[in-house]
Amino acid sequence: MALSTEPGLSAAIGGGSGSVSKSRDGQAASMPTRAFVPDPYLDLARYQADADLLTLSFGPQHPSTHGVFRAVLYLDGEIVVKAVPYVGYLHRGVEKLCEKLSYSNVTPILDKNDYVSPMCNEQAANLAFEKLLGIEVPLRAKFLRTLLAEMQRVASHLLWLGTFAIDLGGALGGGTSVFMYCFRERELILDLFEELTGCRFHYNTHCIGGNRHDIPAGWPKLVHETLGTIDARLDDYLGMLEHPIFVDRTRGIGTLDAELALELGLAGPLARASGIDHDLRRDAPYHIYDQLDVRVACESGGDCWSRYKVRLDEMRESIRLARLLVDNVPAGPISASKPLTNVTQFKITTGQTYVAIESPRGELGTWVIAGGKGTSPLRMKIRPPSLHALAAVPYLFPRYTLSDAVAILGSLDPIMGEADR
Amino acid sequence: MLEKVSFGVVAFALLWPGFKVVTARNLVHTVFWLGLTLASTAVLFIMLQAPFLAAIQLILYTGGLLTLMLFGVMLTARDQGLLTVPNASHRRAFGGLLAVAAFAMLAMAITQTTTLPASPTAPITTQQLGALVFTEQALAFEVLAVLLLAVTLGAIVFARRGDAGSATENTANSIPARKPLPAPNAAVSQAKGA
Amino acid sequence: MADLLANPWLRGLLQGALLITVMMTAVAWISWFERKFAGRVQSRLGPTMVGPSGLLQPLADALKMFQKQELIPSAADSLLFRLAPPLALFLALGGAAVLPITQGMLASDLDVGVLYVLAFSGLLAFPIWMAGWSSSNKYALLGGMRMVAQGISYEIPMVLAALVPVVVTGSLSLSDIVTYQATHHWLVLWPPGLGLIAFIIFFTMALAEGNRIPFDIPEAESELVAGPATEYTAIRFGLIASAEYVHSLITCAFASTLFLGGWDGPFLPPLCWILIKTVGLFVLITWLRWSLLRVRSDQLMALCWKYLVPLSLGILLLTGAFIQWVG
Repeated sequence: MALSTEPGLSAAIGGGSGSVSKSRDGQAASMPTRAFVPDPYLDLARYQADADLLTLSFGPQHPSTHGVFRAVLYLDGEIVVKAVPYVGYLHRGVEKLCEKLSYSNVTPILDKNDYVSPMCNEQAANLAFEKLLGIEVPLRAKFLRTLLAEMQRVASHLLWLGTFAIDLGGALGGGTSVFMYCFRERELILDLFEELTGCRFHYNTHCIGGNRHDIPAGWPKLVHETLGTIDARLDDYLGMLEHPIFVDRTRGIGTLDAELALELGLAGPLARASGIDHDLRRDAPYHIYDQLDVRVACESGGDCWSRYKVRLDEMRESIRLARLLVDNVPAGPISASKPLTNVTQFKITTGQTYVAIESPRGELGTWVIAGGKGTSPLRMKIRPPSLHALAAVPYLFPRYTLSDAVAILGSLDPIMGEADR
Repeated sequence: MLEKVSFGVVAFALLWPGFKVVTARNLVHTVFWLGLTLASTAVLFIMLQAPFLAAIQLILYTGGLLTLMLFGVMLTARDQGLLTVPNASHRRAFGGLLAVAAFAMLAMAITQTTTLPASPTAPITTQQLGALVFTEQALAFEVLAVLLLAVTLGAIVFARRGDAGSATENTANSIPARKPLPAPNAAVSQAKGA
Repeated sequence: MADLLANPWLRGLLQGALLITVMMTAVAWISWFERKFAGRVQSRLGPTMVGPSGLLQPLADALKMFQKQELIPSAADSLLFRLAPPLALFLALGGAAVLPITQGMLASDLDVGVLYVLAFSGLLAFPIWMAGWSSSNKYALLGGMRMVAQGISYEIPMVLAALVPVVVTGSLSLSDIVTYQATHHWLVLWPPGLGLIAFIIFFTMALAEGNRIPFDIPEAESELVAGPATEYTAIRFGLIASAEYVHSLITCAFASTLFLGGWDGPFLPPLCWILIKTVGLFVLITWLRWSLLRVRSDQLMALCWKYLVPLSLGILLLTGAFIQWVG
């Protein structure tokens, strides 16, 4: 389709040279112009809002809102007629906080954004800073970053698979079994990260110019073993999940067409499940993705089943890439800059840039305007893929039942930490 | 002695909820009390050594009737206010009058009947009952079946009529048709060479 | 003493008390068993801390339930809210009275045992609905409505499937049905094929009746928080939870009585056989629960009304024909 040939809005910006406004304008002109009339709601006129519809405040304290997402659902019986999403319950003011921190101090704050894939958060910000500073990252660090990103993708998708199964199968049933298996495997990856960085969760391993922690002895072998184990066990999950109940609960549920996905700014697995063959790793390579043959998983259904398929294929692809990478890490320094002794080590006085990477959830962008007080950015804007995914809620929920709404929300894989920031 | 006491208990359990059925202000409470009345009737059947009737009473009346009544309540109640029954004095008077008349009629019927045996004879077995229904009473049985079929059809018609126009469409579309899926990995596109 | 026992009312009371004690104890340990089983399924240990391999965990849970603070929402319908949990447990326990545990050992040999058990377990939907409606909580209300919708869906195929043994044996009495199976065939095998299908339908619908995954639609933790039990705390919640276990156990015993020959079996004493069969079916339920996902409400209704009702009607007709012409 026509869409797949375009690298997309932010891809061009991310690959651009830094003069943001120009490439933005250029890209905007080439965007498909279309009178988009969003009509997410069913025929509301035939309902008396207070008499016919059950208004259900779904969240923020609800078992399957993936944190503190809230949606007000208007139910006609079991069928959702209208859904109004509310975000912001986990707002911590991260972007504002970044304006007070020096560039080297921003990284640990961003770990808490997408707390399911902190590695990617760190990379997105540091790539932007490095671009502003004009620092070239050593090849070993590039390999390591790519490797970590791919492993993080596996871990993140494993967590998604587990929680998705819980959404479909309840906290006291087969869903939990899948959840426990997925967490067991995710723990293996976290063990590897712990060995590398000393932390299981909020690593702070990326720094401006490269990485902080070098690969310990024997680590590549462990990576091989672990990924091999996970690869083998993925087949078990398929066997456990892909039975008629799961297929009936996901196929044709929450169908999102490519046009709407593009209009909402969806990227990553959600867009690819809707047939938009777009992946920043291939279309706007960073790290060493330009040297890798990334096979992009793409489905055309746009439903929960396609999103599941895409993520599963991505997991396998990431495992393949990670195993390929870990064998080929070149020798050399892991950072272009000196070990950090002073938080004001990096000074950027002017310029701005936007850098986007392919996080497990889609396009994770960082827009930095330099020139704040001291050595802080003047403004830092994070483009979280989860927020854009949640924008699809009013379009996806109506027409489906409450049970399906839970499944759809699960398939969007929102992380409220990054959506609310 | 014990039998009389237990009969008293059951009779009370039958009459008190029956009283509550007419006096309860809340429609759902009414349904609940009615359920108790019907269940006590089942116990009464057991005491009269008619366990089959008791079981049928439980299954059909307390089970089916209650379920249907609850549906009635839920479908008619548009908001909280209508869940309580209207309370007008002339209605109460009329209802009371009706109740007294019905009671008088029943009492008269019972006291005037002399042909019934004073003590229960050998209880009729389920087998006899079944044979009776399917042979002697076959016509009544069939007529009842047709009546129930008509009721079912009528219920469907009524339920459908409320859903005219877009509503029917929405309900019908609530589960969209499946889209054909591409073969696994067929859509995994090849990127540029390494 | 013998005089007192001769009195049917007093004897009934004693039997009832005994039955309740036995059932509640069984439920306690069966819940321990399920938790252990689930643990093993999910590659974890399950309860380990209270007593040897966590055997006293149910006791600790019960104690906790009893001493927790009870909360009744101020907007709740107090009467129905308080009545629903005990009523649920009462109805769940009631079915146990007529189950023949061994030859001649049962609380009461009703002529219409099959109908009696079906009536009690079918009524279970009512207290659950009461709980959902009276909680004055929208999730609970949705759960209650799902329960009623589910109730009228599973009931018909279940009853029709349970009538297959009745047609074959010509009796509604459970002890007669077991005696027939002890002298002829187990009804899961007889009439050939039909009995098996009837058993599968019955068992599937029993899952729906017991709110077990894949049919735990009224509870549906991921959708309705806890369904009708959302607002319940302390021992009221415990009563609802234990009612479910009691009901599951009784359904298993009922299914093994109807189709698997009840206490009939070689070598071992009858009591062992009914226990083995009941626990075996319970393991099957548990296994299904911890490996399957949940179906949607409308999917269950479609399954029941579109497929299982015609199928079970057909099975019943064929069974009648089989009895008439083949014997």
